[in-house]
Parts: sequence; C-alpha cells; structure tokens
Amino acid sequence: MSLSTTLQLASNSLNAAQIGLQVVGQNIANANTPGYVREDVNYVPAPTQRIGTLTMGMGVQVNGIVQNIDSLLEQRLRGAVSDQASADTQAQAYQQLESFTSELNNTGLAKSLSDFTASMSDVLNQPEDVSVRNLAMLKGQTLSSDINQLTNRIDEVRTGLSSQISSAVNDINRLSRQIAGLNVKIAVAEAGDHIKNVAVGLRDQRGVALKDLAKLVDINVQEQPDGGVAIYTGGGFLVYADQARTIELSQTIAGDSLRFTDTGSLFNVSSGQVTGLLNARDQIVGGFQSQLDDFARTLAFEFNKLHSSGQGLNGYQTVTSQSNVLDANAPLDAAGLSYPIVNGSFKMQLYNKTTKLTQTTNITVDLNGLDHDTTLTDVTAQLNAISGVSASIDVNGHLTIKSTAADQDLAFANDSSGFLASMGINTFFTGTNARTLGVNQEIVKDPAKIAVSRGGVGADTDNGVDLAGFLNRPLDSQNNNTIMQLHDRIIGETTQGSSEAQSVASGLQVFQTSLQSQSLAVSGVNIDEEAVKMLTFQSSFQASAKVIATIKELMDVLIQL
Amino acid sequence: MGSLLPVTGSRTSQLMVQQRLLAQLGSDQSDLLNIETQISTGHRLTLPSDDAPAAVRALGLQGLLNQKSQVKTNLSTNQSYLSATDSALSQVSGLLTEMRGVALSSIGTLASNDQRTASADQVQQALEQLVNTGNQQFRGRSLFAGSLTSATPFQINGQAVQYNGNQGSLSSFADTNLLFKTNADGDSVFGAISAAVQGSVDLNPVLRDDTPLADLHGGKGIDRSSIAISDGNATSVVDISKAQSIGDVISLIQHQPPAGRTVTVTLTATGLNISLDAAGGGALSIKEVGDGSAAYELGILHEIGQNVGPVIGSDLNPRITDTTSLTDLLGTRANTTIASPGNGNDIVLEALTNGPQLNGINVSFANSGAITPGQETVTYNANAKTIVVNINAGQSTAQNIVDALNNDPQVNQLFQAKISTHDPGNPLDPNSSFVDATATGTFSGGSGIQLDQQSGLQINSNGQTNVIDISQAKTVQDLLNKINSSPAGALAEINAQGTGINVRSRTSGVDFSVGENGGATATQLGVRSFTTTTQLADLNYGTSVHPIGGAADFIIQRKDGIDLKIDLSSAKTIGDVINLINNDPINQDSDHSVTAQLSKFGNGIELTTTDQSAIAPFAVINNSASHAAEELGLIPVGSHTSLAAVVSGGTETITGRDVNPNEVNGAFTALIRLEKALRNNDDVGIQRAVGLLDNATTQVNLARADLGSRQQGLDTLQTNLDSEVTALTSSLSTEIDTDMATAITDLTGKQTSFQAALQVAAQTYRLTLLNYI
Repeated sequence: MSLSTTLQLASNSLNAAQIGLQVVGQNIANANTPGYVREDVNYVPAPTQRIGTLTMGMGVQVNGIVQNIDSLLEQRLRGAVSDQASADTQAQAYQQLESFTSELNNTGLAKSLSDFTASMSDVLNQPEDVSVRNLAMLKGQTLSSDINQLTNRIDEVRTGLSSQISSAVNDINRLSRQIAGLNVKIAVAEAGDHIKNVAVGLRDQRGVALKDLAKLVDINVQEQPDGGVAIYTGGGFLVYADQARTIELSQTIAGDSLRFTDTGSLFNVSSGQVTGLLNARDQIVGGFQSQLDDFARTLAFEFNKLHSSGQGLNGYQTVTSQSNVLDANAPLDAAGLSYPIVNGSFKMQLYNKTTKLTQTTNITVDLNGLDHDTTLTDVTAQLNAISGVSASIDVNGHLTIKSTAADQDLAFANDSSGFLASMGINTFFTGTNARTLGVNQEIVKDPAKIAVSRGGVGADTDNGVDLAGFLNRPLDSQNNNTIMQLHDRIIGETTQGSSEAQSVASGLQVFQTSLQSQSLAVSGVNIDEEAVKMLTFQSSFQASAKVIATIKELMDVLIQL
Repeated sequence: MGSLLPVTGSRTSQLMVQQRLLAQLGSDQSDLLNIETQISTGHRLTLPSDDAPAAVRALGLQGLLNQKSQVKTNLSTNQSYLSATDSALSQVSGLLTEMRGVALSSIGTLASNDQRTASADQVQQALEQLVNTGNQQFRGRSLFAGSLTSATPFQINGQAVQYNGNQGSLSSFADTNLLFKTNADGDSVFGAISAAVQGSVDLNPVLRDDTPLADLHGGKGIDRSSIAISDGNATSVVDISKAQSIGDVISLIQHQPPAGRTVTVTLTATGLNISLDAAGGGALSIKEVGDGSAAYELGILHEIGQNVGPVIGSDLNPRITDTTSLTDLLGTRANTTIASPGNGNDIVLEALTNGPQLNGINVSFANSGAITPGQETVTYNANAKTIVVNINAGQSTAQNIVDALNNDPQVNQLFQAKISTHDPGNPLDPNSSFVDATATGTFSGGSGIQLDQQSGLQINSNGQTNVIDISQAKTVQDLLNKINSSPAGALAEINAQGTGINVRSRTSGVDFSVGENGGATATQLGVRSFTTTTQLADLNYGTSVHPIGGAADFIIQRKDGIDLKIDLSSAKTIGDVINLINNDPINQDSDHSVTAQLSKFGNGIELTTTDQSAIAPFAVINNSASHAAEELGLIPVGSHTSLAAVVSGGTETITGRDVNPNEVNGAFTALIRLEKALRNNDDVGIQRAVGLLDNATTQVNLARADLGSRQQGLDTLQTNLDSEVTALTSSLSTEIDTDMATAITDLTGKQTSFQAALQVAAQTYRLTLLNYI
C-alpha cells in the first residue's frame, strides 16, 4: 500500500470516467442515427491487492463497451418488416390496377361497353342510316382498343414488377455478401473476449444490413458463438459464417422462379418484398390479366355468335374466315380452332340484289361423335354443292366463300353450331384475348354489314334487338351471367382485393411501428439519460481528480520533510 | 390514414420520439390532404378501394345510368318517328271522308256523266296524294314500309298500287328489357296486302334424317334431356342434349343400347319406330329420366314393356321451313331397311316418289356361291312383288348390293339404295360389312301423292295471267321465290303454323286469284282461290249469288235438245253447284251428259260435253228472273246466254268466269275502285267503294289511335325515366360524392387538432435536461 498505488487507482478512475464520457459522447452523437444501438460502458472493479491481512481494491476497470440490444425483439421486428414490405408491394400493385380501370370516373371499360351497345341501340333506332352503323363500328373499335390498351398497361406493370424482382435479387446477393464479410470482421474483433457485443460499429452495420435484407425476404437469424450470424431463409442457409450463397432468377417454361445458384433448389420465401413482388406480378396483375383475357374472349365469341346468325344491309361477294383450322380433314371440334363448335347447322343464303329474293341452303355441322363428324373439307363440299357459291380452303386453313354471280350476295343465318363465330365468318369482333381483340375488317370496310336483320339481307331488325340488349343477355356458357356481370365481377374483385390488401398493409404497419418503438425503447439513445450519465462521469472525474490532488498534497508534504 | 401507435412502457429514446412525431405529423397531414381532395374533387372516393362496397354499388349505378341515358335517346328518337307518322296520317282520314262524300253525291241518276268524270279526277288526285303520304320519308326512313325502311313502299302501277314494304315491325329498347314498336307498317295503316288465299291444306312435310329437332311439333321443338331405354333387365340412359336433328337422336339411341342388346330405330314419315333385337327377347320400355319429357315429346314414351317392339312413335309433325324439299310434301315415300347383323351393312331403300306404289314389295337375297363380288344381279318380279338380289354370301358387301340395286335399269326407276348412316360403323366397316344372306326387307309407309310440279299454277292479277312454273323448284323457298318474283305482285309465305303456304296480293285496286295451270298444283298446295268448298255467299266480292228459289235459276241446254233446269236454292258451295249439274237425274245418260267441273286452267266452272248430237247448241241460258248464272260466271254480265262453246277434238266446253276474285282490302283499293266505278257509271261499284272507304277510314283511324296510345305510353315512360334517373343519380351521389358539410367540419376539426399537435410536439421536443446544466 502506497500513495502511488492510490494515485494509480485514481488515474484508473479518471480513465474510466473519460471512457464513460466518450461513450456518452458517442451515444449523443448518434442519437439520431438510424440503426445505431446505444452503447454502455461495462465497468468492473479492478483486481484487488492483498497487503498483509488487508485485501484492497484497485479502483475501477473498463471491461468493455457493449450494445444495448434485445436480439429476440430484433428478430420479431425483422419478421414484421418482411411482412409489411410484402403487403405494401401487393397493395401498391392493386392500386395501380385500380387507377388503370378508372371506373369511378365513368371513363373505364363499363363506359366503353355501354357506349358500344348504346350505339347498337342507335342502329336499331335508325336501321336505314349507314352513318349510324359506321358509328357503331367505331364504338366497337373504341371498346376493343380500350381493352387492348388496358392489357398493354398491365403488361408494363408486369414488366416493371419483373425488373423490380431482379433488382431485389441483386440486393439480396449484395446484402448477404456484406453480412458474410461483417461476420468475419466481428469474429476477429471479438476473438478472445468473454463478453459479447463488443464489436459495436461492425454490429451496427450488420444490424442495418439484416434489416435491409429482412425487408426483401423473411429471414431467420441465428447468432453463432463466434459473433457471426447464420441466416436461414427460403429453404436453406443464405449466409453461414463467411459463406454467402447467391440466388438467381431462373427462367423455365412455366415462368421464372428464384433458385439458389449453387444447388438449383427453389428459393422458397413466404414474406418480404420479393414475395410481395412475385405475388403482385403473378397473382394480382397476372390474375387480372387472365380475367381480362377471358372477358375479351367471352365478349368476342358471344357477340359473334349472335352477329354471325344475322344479316346486314349488304351481303358478301367474298368472305374469308378470320380464323383458320390446323387440319381441314379433322372433325371441326378437333381442328385447332380457339372457340368451341358443337353439333348443329347453319344456313347459307344467296341474296339476289336485283330480285331481292333469297335462296337458302342448310349446311349441317355433324359433331355428334358417333358417325362421321364434319370436317372443314365437308363444309366446303356442302357449300360448293350450292349453285352460285364457290368455297375453298387455302394452305393455312382459312375458308373462303365466294359468290359466283355479281348480282348475288352471300349471307348467313341460324347458326346453332357456332361454326361461323368460331371460323370468324360474318363476325363483328376478331381475336381471342384482350391483346388481339379487334373489329372484323369486313365490318370496318363496310359498316352496312353489321348484322341487324334476321329475316334476310336488310329485311328487319330482329337480330339488332339481341345485339343492342347484349349487355343484359344471360350467357349459357357463363352460367347465365351477363357480360356486364362478368365485368363487374372483375372490377369488384380487384377493388375488394385492393381494399383488403391495404388494410392488411396498414395493420402490419402498426404492428411494425410498435415493434420498432419497442426496439428503440431498448436500443435508442435518450439524451437526458446521457446527460445524467455525463454528469455522473463528470463528477466521478472531478472526485478522482480531487483524490489525485490530495495525493499530490500528501506527496508534497512527504517531499518537504 | 391516421392510426394509433401504442406507447411502449419502459423507456423512450430520441429516435423513438422523433419517429413517432414524424409518423403522427405524416398521418395528420395525409388526413388533411385527403379531406382537401374530397372537397376539391367533390368525390368521396379517389380509388374504388377507398370504400370497396360503396364503389361496387356505385359501379352498378353508373352502368344503369349509362343504359338509361341511351334509353332516353331511344325514346326521343322514336318519339320523333311516331309523331312524324302521326302527322303524316292526320290528313288521311279527312281525305277518305271527303272522297266518301264525293262518292255518295255521285250515286243515283241525279249525277251526270260530266259530274262523275270530274269526281273521278278528284278521286285520282286523292289517290296520288295518298300514295305520296304512304311514301313519306322522315330522317331517311320510309315511314310506312314496315321493316324494309329504305324501300319506297307504294308504287303506282297503271291502275293499281303495289306495296313493296312488308309487315315487319321495328322496335327499340324503352328500358333494360322492355321493347316497344317504333313504326306502323303500310299494311296495318292503309291495308296493302290481301287476306291470305288460305293455305287450308296441311302439307305435312315428311320427317327426314336431317330434320332439326327445333322444327318438330310445328316448330315448338322438343325437350332435349335424356331418355331411358330398357329391355327389362339392363337400362341405358341416352342423353340427347347434343342432338341437333332427328338423325342424331337415332344414332345416339342405336349407339347406346341396353347392355348386350341391339336397338334398331327406323325413321318413318311421321316419327320413330324402335325395336329390340328379337333374339334376345325381353320387354322394351322407354321412359323419361327425371323431370324430362324428351321421350314423350319424341313420341316414343312406352312405360310398360311387353315384347321386343316395335314401339311405333307418334306423329312428330315437323314444320315447313324454307329448306323443306318439295318432294317431302303431301305424301311419303315407301322405304325399307335390310338389316344384317354387324356394323356398317344395313341397307336403306327409299322410293323415288311419294305414294303407296311400292308398298308390300319384298326384297331378299339369294345366295349363289359362284358370283364374284361386284357382279351381283337383281331380279324384279312386279306381279309377285319381289326383288331378289343374287349374292355370294360372305363375299358380297353392303356396298356391292347397293351398287347392284342402283345400277339395275328396272329398279333404279323405283327406288334408291344407300347404306344406313345409323348402323354403327358407317362409313363401311371392312370387317363386317358383308350382308347376311337371310336378311330381307319389305317396302312400307308409302302414301299420299307427289306434288304436281309439272303443271305449275296461274296467278291472275290486274287482268294479267301469270303462269308460275315450278318444275325447277327444289325447296319450298324456291317455290315461294317463283311466286314472289312473278310480275303478279303476289306475296307467298309459309303460314304461321308452319303447315302450309299462303299466297296474298300486294297489289291494291285489282282482282287477284290463284288458279290451276292444267294440273292440280294450286289445289295440292292449298292455294287455289276458287275451289269446290268456296262459299257462294263469298262470290263477287261477297255480294253472293241470288237464286230466285222454287224455280230454275238457269237452264243448261244440251246438244240433244234436252234442258237441264238447275235450281240453286239448295246450293251453298261451288261443289254443290257442280254436283247439282252432274247429279241431275236427267243428266245421267253418258252419251249426251254434260259434265261440270272446276276449270283446268285458271278459275271458274267449266261445262263440257262429248255429245255429238246437233239438235241444239250447247249453252247456258238465264231464267229471266234470276241472275244466278251471271253471278256464277257462266253467263257474261248483262247477257242472257253463255258465250258460244269452244269445240276441241269432239269436246265442247263452256268456260265460266272467275267470280271469286280476292282483293286487297284497304284505302288504295277503295279509291281505285271508286275511280273506276265513277268512270264506268257503275252505281253498284260506287256503292261497294263507299263500303270499302268506310272500312279503310276505320282502319286508318284505328292505326292513328294505336299510334297515339303508343306515343302516350312513351311520354309516360319518359316521365318515369326522368324520375328514375334522378333517383339513380342521387343514389350514386350518396355513394361516391363528398358530403360537403361533413367534409368541411372534418377539415376544421383536423386543422385544429393538427395545430395543437404541432404546438405540443414542438414544446415537448424542445424539453431537455441539457437546457438546465
């Protein structure tokens, strides 16, 4: 026991106070740094000295500087971040869809649909006026192009989502590499230490990286004894010690999927932005697109079925089918047409423009599956048997029907088989999905061919009544739903989905914020707290300095002896 | 939207306070922005998902409103047509009444010839005026052309007016599913098409393989559900929902027999016959499945089975359509099926013409091993009613037999052979298409007659005789086209029941009749306007025949000098008159007798005799008190005796006039008849024209009343529509529009709370211990 020992003790104490102040300073400096975890100085009493029978303390010793962090809470927070990122992305996709359909402004698809049938009503009002028919044709074009545009915009959204997915994949790979690197550094920094969380700055960086990664995919983080973390996600380890596995977007016929680069096994994540993006692209936007395709297909086929059994103000001199068969000698229901054909028949009319008389021939489409089923070649033969008609099939499987006399026009009626609608003869619309929907060029060239009559060329408006009432016509093929109901269902489902996604996202937002608060309560810096600590260290420093001054005085006394 | 964040208990930190504060401010500001947007746009919702249920309701309402706005256009457009029609007609009844006055003043002896000529000129002007009215156009539409809106409906054709429109109606939507008629066709207003020359004959088309199910039962069709066929042990359910024609039904039944059995379905002229294979025995029953009525409607319901059949189906009564073949009318062709066991080898034989000629002829095979397949021969014995085909059993295929029959110069004049399309395995099954040497068939089912297509018919219109040649016509539509395209101005169509055809006149002001052209075509088709059943009361435009009663109305002077005294008082129809003459007790000596019949050409009564005596000229002579012979057309009007008989090859013929002309009953006929009568000084004609004018006036007035009530209906609809649109708009507004009062109150509240929050936050945030040390 000596004065210098005491001096040493006081100097330790000064050091400790200085370190304490430095940590306070560090905390205050980072009070507003996101991801910063408040630090504490870990003080322990210095080792004791035994002098004679006395055991005396040697003052204070700084054991280390540690982070104040609740790792379990952090894990939950990361989970919440993943969930919220996923929900947010999906809600955004829904909102984009909603803004495209713009139904509330009365400018969307519903409006084009009712405008189109309204124009058919006008044809009914003024069947003799070709300009009204021209308008109806234009409204049909507007409807088709509205649907085309909608599907193009949706495509753009899908492309955008795809590129977001690939950039998210890059981010995942970058972050996992970064975390693996930090793992090594932390292990080195903390090597041999018996307390954890000493590699403070590095751990802060890793914490931020983990949170960023959690935003992209849901991760399960396990801290290892050496201070490194293992990240388990998507059915495998993404990071283990200094190893980071990469993932990639692999293209297959069924679509693209996320896989581990090394093993090729599926990277199967259930939450996070990537999941949100995949869902948004494939289920939400993709689902909307396939619904829109079905809608366009139903619209075209059902309208064409009605239209193809009617007659316009003019007949056809020549008509070529819009669709083609793959095999002219196969039964029509197996000949590769996109729309169904059933057992039935249709009527081929030859309308004499001079005498205004019609000659009708029944064309059977036998598809009862029992005896010889009708092929396109058979239909062609039946048509060729009519004097005044010549029919042929071109190399691509298109059927062309010609009138061989200039004063005789062709017209069609009573199609119970769907042959005309499927082949695209005397139809209004062309195309089989939202992208290809359009108006038949025959109608565009001559809107007088809009088939409003049912009793022969230009004879009446009976078919027009059905065309004008098309929106409210129950459709057999759609369980008696009307085309308007189909439309309302698509829009309703999107709206409902969007509303649900938004409430899920906002619920998760609250949850995440509350976890964030909890986390900040543990790890955040409180200035007042730090000020109190600062005062404590200050007074501790002052007291220690006083001890030194006292020792000095005592020493001076001794020296002057 | 603002949401409440829970405050955690333990400890606060700088970043937490900061984040909470930012979150709070952000949420308050977004609330404010939201309200501000609601106020500035007037919409409560920016995206449908802001309030999904309301948005979905709003979409429905918007859809309805869009449709209603079109309905509004429909109503106003068609109001304009109806009022144009109404105003066009406003002058017509006045004009007709005026002409009635002109006619009345010209009746009797007081009116001079000059006066009548002047009146006739006046009537002619009225006619022209009426034609102009009838041809009136409005917004490019011929108002009175029916659904042929671009046709010029009325055309003056010499002394007649021809109607080129139709009776079609135009309609438009007055509500989502409510149609209203938007035109008045020329016939319903002016009377432009005559009543039908009644197609009284049921042409009874034959059931064919390709007869659509929808055409059965006069066009009512049948229930396409399922039927259950049982042999007493096994039951087979045959679903006919995909069947389109009666042939499909036959194929479906034959392809799905009860397990292990063979069901044979044959098509008769009227229905289906169904039997089980005799070898297997059992009791054939045919029942409905569930609530269906397919078996009943196919006429083959047979609930209690007793033997293997056949079950004879009831008459399915297909309707006549445009494409019905003329050979399928009026009778049936005898047919038989020679059915051999196995697939693709049943042979169907069908007579070439309708009628019973081939009934009972048996067709069988004779096995002679020496014949090379393809060299089969046919032996026809007309007296024994047998046809034997000499075949090589096990070598001759069904196709060989068919070829042999169709190439035999004798039998191919009688019938045509083909392989059944319903025998499973058709087209030819190479493994089993050999015929069974013991199979036979007997022709049956031939009945009725063949339509006389060679003679054609005559249509008399406007004094012109138009011969309609239908020898080239194949289908009913061909026949109708022949009639419709003739210059006779006739309108031929299938009647509403689908049982026959009607022929009507589209030409006003002239006589119209349909008669024979030397054959029986018109009678067979049921379109002859002068038949044995024609009522005497209907003759001469309904002015009838007037027997004096109790004495002879006219005398037929035979060539042997004997007079047949004919008293018509008991006769009601033309047939009665003919019978009175033919059955006269004095007229039964075949050497000198006179035969009465309907004219072979055109219409009228024709008297013929082959008597070679020359005691008196063959003639019809009036009983001076009676005009009945004139009224029957045997004696020219105003004359006492008939025209001199025409002699041809030993036969003398007196041909009567057609005294049952049809005419269009309407305004144009009335005026044309009136004008003619005035010019001819025909008092009776003028009087008749007055009656016609009265009818026409009533018709025009009725048409106007109908128009008026429809216009009134539209007015009501318009009013209803307006209030409906108001209600819908207000509902829509409730769903998606901003409630300004609420929004502005909310805005003020939010503003105040935001201000307070800012103030408190600023103060709290500034508080720190550091200020005090």
